[in-house]
Amino acid sequence: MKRILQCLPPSSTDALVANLGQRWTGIGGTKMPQPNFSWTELFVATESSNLRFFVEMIPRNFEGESTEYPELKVESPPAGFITAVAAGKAYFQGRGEKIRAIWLLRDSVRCTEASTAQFEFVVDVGVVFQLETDCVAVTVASFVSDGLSVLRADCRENLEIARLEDFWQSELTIRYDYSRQWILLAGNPEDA
Amino acid sequence: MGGGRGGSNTHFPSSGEAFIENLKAAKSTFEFDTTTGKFGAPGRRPTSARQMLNREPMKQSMKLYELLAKGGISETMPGKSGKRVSFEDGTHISWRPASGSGSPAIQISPGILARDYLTPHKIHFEKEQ
Repeated sequence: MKRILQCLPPSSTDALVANLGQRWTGIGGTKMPQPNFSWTELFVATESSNLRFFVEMIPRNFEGESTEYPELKVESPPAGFITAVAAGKAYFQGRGEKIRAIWLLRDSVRCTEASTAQFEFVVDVGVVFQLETDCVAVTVASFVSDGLSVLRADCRENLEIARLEDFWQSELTIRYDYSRQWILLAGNPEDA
Repeated sequence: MGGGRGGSNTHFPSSGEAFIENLKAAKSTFEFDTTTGKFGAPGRRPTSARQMLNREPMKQSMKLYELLAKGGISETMPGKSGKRVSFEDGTHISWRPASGSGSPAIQISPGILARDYLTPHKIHFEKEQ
């Protein structure tokens, strides 16, 4: 069975964790046509740092034919959000609230064909910031595009995050099993 | 796929509701499988990929894209490698004249409203033999 791991490296998770306790500034990006969606990249700004979330389309061949899958990446460049502000593409909902917890969303899909395991795809699909009054998620918008979604809800359970079941649907002889892990990277959600 | 939310025909052009109107027009012109919520016929792997065979793949792919994209916030893709459009519910669609396999392709990713009507998929337009 092929096992494909597409997970954020420690340099990315370290950059995320460094924002625990920081005050939220906003989300923006010049490729963000509306507050809940961006093509390719967007920036999350806190009082002390700047996170760049971006998607690269990576060709992979684990389903029998090479195709491109979006890979979420996170880095901490010195600037980026300020460009979005200058372009009028920045959204400040939640400004001033402290980040109480940071979660990583890790999904997996396992394919079985005629009782034989074919592949397992383990993929980091997004990051959730728990603020004082709501949760903000930045996730891959789809497994067939380089879009990023921005979702908000009063608690993480209410975030309408895209499901793997929409992309890999079981058929007569092929079965897909799915799972989703909420990995607490930093913080104590009980503090919120 | 369920029937989804109803509504009038007077929506802001880039709203999710307007996209659903576009979708109805596209479904009346192109093959659409209401069970899976996808255009075209099952293709080869991956399972999210679909196939449309016709005599004019380029022309037909552009026609489907234009029907779906009407009123959305559209832009040319970097490197002029195609077109893309988004709607306020997060629905986004892109069209490439030549995908990795060489054929024209459209990817459709429904947003929060459109999820009731279709599922994310990629359609390859290939020449009918």
